Amino acid sequence: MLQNWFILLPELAFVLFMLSAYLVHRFRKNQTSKTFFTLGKMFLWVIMLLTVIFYNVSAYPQWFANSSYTTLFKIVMYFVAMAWFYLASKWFLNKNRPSYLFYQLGFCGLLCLELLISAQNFIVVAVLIPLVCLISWKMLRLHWDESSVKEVSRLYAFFASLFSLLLLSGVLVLYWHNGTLTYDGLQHIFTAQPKSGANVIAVCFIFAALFFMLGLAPFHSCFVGMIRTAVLPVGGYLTLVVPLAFLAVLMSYVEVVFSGMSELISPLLLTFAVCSVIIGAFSANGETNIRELFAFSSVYHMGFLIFALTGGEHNNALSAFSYMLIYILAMAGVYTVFLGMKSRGNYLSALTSVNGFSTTKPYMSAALAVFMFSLIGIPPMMGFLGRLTIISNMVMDERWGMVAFMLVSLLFWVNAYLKVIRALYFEQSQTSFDRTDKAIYICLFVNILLVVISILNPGYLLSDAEQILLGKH
Amino acid sequence: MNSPLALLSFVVAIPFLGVLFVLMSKDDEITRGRNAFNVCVFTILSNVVMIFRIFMLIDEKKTTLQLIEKFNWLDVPDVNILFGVDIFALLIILAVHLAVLIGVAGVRQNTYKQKSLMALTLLFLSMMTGFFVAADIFSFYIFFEAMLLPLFMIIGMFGEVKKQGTIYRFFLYNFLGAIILFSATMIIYRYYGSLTLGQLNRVRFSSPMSYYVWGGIFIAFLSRLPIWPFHYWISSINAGIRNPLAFIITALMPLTAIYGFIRFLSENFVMPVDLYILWINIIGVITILFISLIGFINKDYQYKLFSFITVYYIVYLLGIFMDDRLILLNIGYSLFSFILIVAALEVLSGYIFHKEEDYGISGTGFLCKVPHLSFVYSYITLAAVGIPLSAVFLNNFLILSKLLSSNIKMGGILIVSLVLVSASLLQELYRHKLNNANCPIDRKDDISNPMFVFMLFIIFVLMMSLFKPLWFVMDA
Repeated sequence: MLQNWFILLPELAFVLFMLSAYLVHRFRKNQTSKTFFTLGKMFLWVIMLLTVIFYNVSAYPQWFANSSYTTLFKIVMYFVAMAWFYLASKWFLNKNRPSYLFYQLGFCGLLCLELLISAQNFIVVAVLIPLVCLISWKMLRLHWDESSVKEVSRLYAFFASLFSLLLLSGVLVLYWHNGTLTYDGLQHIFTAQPKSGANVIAVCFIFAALFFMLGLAPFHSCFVGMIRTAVLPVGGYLTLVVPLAFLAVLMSYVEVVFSGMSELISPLLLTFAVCSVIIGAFSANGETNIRELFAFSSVYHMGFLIFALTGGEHNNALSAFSYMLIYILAMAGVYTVFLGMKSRGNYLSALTSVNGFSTTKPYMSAALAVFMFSLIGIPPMMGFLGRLTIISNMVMDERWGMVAFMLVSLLFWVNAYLKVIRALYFEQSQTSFDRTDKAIYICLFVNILLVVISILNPGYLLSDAEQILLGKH
Repeated sequence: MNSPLALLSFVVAIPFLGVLFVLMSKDDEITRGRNAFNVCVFTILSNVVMIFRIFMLIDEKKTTLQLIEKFNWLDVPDVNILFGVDIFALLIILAVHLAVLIGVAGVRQNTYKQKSLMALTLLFLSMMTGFFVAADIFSFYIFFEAMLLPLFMIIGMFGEVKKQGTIYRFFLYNFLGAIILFSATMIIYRYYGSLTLGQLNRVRFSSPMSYYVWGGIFIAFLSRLPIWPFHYWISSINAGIRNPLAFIITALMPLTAIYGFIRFLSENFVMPVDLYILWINIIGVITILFISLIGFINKDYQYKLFSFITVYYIVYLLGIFMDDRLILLNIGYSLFSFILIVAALEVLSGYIFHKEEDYGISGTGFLCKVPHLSFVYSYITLAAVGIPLSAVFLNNFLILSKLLSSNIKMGGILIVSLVLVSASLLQELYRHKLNNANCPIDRKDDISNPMFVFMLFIIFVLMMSLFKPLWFVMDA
């Protein structure tokens, strides 16, 4: 019994943070936006340490199981969350707004996401996903002008409820038809028995909920709307942290739990991937709001990433993981630059408002250009590595149609980024930009350094991950 | 022979390190980009010294790639970065460095975003050098695409291109070419693994695949050449650029296509390649006749220079398709002088253009009162038109005689085109030399003494290359 409590220490640390944050919020008088970040940072380090210590032991293996695979995703997620929490504190400092609720919700979301990664039973999934939706919804409403997010929050509430219900229905159908909801049990059933209509419907419902959470097209409108209207710290959290967990879940379903149903899942993934790539590429071209443009870019990248999973081979998990890592690193850089795009205290989002940004902020513009070219996948940027790993797998499987589609879609999508480059570099400045916090430069420098090191020697980044991802099978 | 000191990696890395130093250099109202300029010049000169060191190490008679350096980059997929050079590649690398140095000298008075210009130029130089030392298909592709990035930024920021849509289309067109090469590379990798450029003769596909792979490779390289019917974007970009360095960098892009054809077609004249070559011969001949005529009747000197560059690049391309070892070597020698001539002409004409703008004059008689400029400009123009003042003369003679002996009609059209582009350059020289009493230009408008000395050095290099193309390589 005591052993189980030890194993649950990471989760207990989350709860302890929430309690401590509440007490600080309630009783400490001199609170700044940094107070909660400092507290969160300490707890997050401890959580990371504990996660690594108990990386392969589980308290209740039938519900949650830890492994190298789950630890890999959790640690990446914690690092990204920590970096973003740090940058978010600068936003709260600049805006002089209370940060308590953001950090409280952020940690609560992290707890749900880490449990979701370790989940071994669909009951857990059916409980946690609505909870994550609720937290996202609450985060969306962390806007000082609630009327501006009213419409989007209503829309999100509606769709989140709908997809939660779909998920619940899928789980119920699974249970009714197979008599078990554990991953292992279902994996055996799907491998041994031919697929039935009820199982097909259940799997479709579960995947629909996952696709909604990942912001894949055609369920992307809520995600894009949220990124457009939410405050920057929330937008960054939803773009950088949340997808990591859901990708871990999706990869585990595709590669392990539903591997026996690959004949159904591959076309399903392919359809959504094609939709996301097309909608992401075309919609980004029509955007004049830089954050929305990058939201569509996320839709595109998620589609690209899902493509990697359609093959069902071992290397696909590795290529999806490396692509995800590169995408998150570049997107983290993009959001860091967003924090530096400020004029008279306001964070800029219209494309025309950042015209000539390079004249006054050459380093930040250069960093944004590097991240964008990385996302395009132009060598020697790190994004090329992601593109290479995914396309090479498709070529190995002789999926020529997909290769052609992916490469053609790149051309359309690149055009959207060229618009941003034009605004930053080729247009004349009409805005006076505010002084940028040194912390933003430091974060950008660290990010660029990681990009450079990774491109020079990608092995250090991927060799261990490769072993873990292959070991998963 | 393997490289003892990873010298080739150094040659690629030095300009890249130079970028970091340029970015760290102080740039304010007092320095006005002077520090960045100095760092850039120092970096290029350091690399030129390294290139000379490599010249000493390689055997000029060997046709295979030497000083091989291999780095294991990625395990899944198995991608290695492989570097190697032969005398041909090294000559072109040296020419590119000298051309960029001439371009940098041409923008020494520039104050508009000088730091960015120098940083992007060094980045371009690094990628370009990487491209010429690449010894396997993956390294080749990586640098082929990587150079697009600094090129796009340089054109966008310093090209003063009025229609920005043209820049997009130019980039997308080149990017499409790179993507097609990527897919062709991946297909070759799928069936043959990561091949070195010397092993490309192993590539033998079945009929449809062969058409696609070789077609893809041809399209990729042609995307870098202003060849009909896709010449518009490249010509509208090149002819509009007023920054000499940006123009030189843009003019170096077709060189990647020429080099690509040389590396990929060596010993690969299999069925679809023959067919594609036939088509390119036809299109190439139409293009040079078309462009040389436009260059001849066009009043804009930039366009005349662009047509001169295009015609020569296509002549080299047609020479490569002759599949003759001697011709290939002569193309290398000729390209070396040609690149220097183009860079020097652009810098000098840019100088004249800006003076004309300052005085609000047409430029007639400009050279009458500026003896230094008059001498170097005349020499380089005459060398460009094919008078025996540089290696271009002898090597063009060989290439054209071979082309004439194999296809007299094609050779005839080539000669007409070369005469037209030469005449258009001479027209301009004549206009500048024409006595004009009203011309307000006097001695103080002459090029500076350091610039004159530098140009004399370039003339010296051109002259020496006429007598012995590899005069700077010490005999063992």
